[in-house]
Amino acid sequence: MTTPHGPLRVRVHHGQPVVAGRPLALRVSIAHPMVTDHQVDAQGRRLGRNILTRFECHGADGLLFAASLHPAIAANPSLQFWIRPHQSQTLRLRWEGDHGFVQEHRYALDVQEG
Amino acid sequence: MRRRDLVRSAAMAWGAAAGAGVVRASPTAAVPPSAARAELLMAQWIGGRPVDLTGIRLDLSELVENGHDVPLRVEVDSPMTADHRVTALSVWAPGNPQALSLEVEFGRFNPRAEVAARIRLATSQRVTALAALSDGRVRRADVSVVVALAACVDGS
Repeated sequence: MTTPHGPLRVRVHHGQPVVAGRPLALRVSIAHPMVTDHQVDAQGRRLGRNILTRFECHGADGLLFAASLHPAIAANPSLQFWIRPHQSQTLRLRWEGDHGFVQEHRYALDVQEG
Repeated sequence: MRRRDLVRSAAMAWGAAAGAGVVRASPTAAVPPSAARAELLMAQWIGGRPVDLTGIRLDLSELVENGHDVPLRVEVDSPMTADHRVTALSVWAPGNPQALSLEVEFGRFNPRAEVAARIRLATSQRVTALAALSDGRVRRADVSVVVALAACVDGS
């Protein structure tokens, strides 16, 4: 399930060029409000918790990185982590959240021979 | 305009929920009740394993203007080989309503035991990073952060 307005915007950043076998820092972010239990609207009504709870990055080698997210994660969650790609591949970025939220984003990572 | 009001009220509510000390970061401010519970939860995460205070860096500004968006980076010294690596890492903010902020699982394919993220801090507090190593040890780093939530002090 995604939002009624379609998938949330995802951004992936990394340095270039990406060379096989070399460490690569990936920064992945998603436009999600991460509403905590404690946030209220202009009328003082509680908005109700709505957060992402899980992020996974899958690649050619399987699960590359995973994180459990909690209410203290700022809106538009962004994570930077390191991978070591050995060939060009499609990264599968997956988020899970409250109320059955699931979104997957595929990112084509072009890797040059070292 | 409505959006700005919404953001401000959210900021106020989130800060207020964590108790006193949002505006005035006084060292004599009462320890929030959640802090003691957080120590217990961190002890559970450590699980009796020996704790080193070296070989781990928690990069976090000691003076934060906007508690809603606090960049941090945790970096652990490790060769990240199959036999010697960091398996998991957690970040704790004991002054928040819920202390556990982020948990990371490293796999065989992470060349560096490092993660960067942005968190929320409800009040001034000591933030802790814990890293679990494959050799059964835990590394710990703490940074005391003073938070000035500008959204709550402009009087409007």
